[in-house]
Amino acid sequence: MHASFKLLYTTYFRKVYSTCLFILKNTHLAEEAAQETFLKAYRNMDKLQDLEKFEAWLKVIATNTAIDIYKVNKKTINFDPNEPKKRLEYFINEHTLQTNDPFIDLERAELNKDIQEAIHKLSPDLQQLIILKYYAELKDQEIAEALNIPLGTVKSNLHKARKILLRLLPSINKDFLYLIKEDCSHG
Amino acid sequence: MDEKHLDKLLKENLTTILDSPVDVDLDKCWKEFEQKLQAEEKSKNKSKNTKLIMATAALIALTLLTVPALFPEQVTAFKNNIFRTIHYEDGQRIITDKVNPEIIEGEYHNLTFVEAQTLTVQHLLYPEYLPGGFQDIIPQIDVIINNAPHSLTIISFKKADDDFIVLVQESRIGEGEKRTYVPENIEMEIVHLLNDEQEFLLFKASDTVYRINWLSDSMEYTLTTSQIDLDDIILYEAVFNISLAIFNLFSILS
Repeated sequence: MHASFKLLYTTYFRKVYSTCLFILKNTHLAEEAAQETFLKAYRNMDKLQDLEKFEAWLKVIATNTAIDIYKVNKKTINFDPNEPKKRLEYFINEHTLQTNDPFIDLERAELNKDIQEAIHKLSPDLQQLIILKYYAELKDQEIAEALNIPLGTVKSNLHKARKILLRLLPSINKDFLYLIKEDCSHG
Repeated sequence: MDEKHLDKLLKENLTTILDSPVDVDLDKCWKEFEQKLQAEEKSKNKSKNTKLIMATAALIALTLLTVPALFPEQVTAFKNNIFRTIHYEDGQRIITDKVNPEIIEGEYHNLTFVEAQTLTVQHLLYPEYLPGGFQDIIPQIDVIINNAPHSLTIISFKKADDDFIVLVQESRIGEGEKRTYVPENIEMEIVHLLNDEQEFLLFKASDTVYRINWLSDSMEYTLTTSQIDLDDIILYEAVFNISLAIFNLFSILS
């Protein structure tokens, strides 16, 4: 049986760890949170109603666990300044050179960097909502059920998170926004 | 920026950043996790979630299958445990008896084929022919024995993440039933060949990823290939002389 669970563990550990690291910004605590996430998953497999939702279920557990650990450690938490930077560099590299226009690539990279930094400025609770909404791709109702909070609270907190992000992103080049808009209308 | 555009950017942004590579030692993490789990299990009864975990693992990781399998015929005679397997070599049927083999549970990685064979009670198979580009690759061979004499042997020939051949050979003991959930989007065929003596399950996970699964002589075999031309599949001599059969199977879904 451990072999079967190992398959799940090795498939999802990195994603779970990344999610925890995103909230905790500390590699040791993120590892602790990731291990705890899988222990909880192992203990509670019988509560998983739809096997196909395993990944989203795991992300809910991961964000909850990371937040619990954050709350316990928030006064002593050691923020690792290099970790977000390393990941930002990777991210920027991934999103550069998508077009033949270096100007557009640069703008896009800058925009992504700004967004990353803005998300990191949200409180862990709002980061959790953003992760569940945009990364785990859960519907608002599913988030409400997963976190056991009213749907209205989910909607209002998501609205609040978006408003904060928009406020934190004022310096985006307006010309570049036209490109993004075109992308959206084509996509 | 309006919310629609923000939504799009957030989705792209988070997916990329959270799916990006992280610097963790997965083996070390798993060992620590396993120790915690074992400590927990010692204090409690064995998890009642075993079947669910196995089903989810089958569904998610394989996206495909796992089927009930038997195990080498075990006989106890004069206090000896004998494991009998029947296999073919060059058309010759061979009966192998292993008497009181020493089986030490554990996970063994990066083995040679001979080392893998000595660890397991069943007769292991090795692909006799590999398609172009794979001949020079030294396979990774791992054996997992968690509940002896049940074992799982994985032989992986990997050129790249999306270019591989993997043969999994599994015996099971003490399991009465195992269910597998096959997702709706996976094409599956059940085919009988070799004068209807052999049943194969053929899965097409995508245009390039195929999986074929069959039971024989108390073993379950699963061969997975990716990025390989159908013409190459005829050259597999992984098991018995069924290369032609495999080719026919793949032709059905191609």
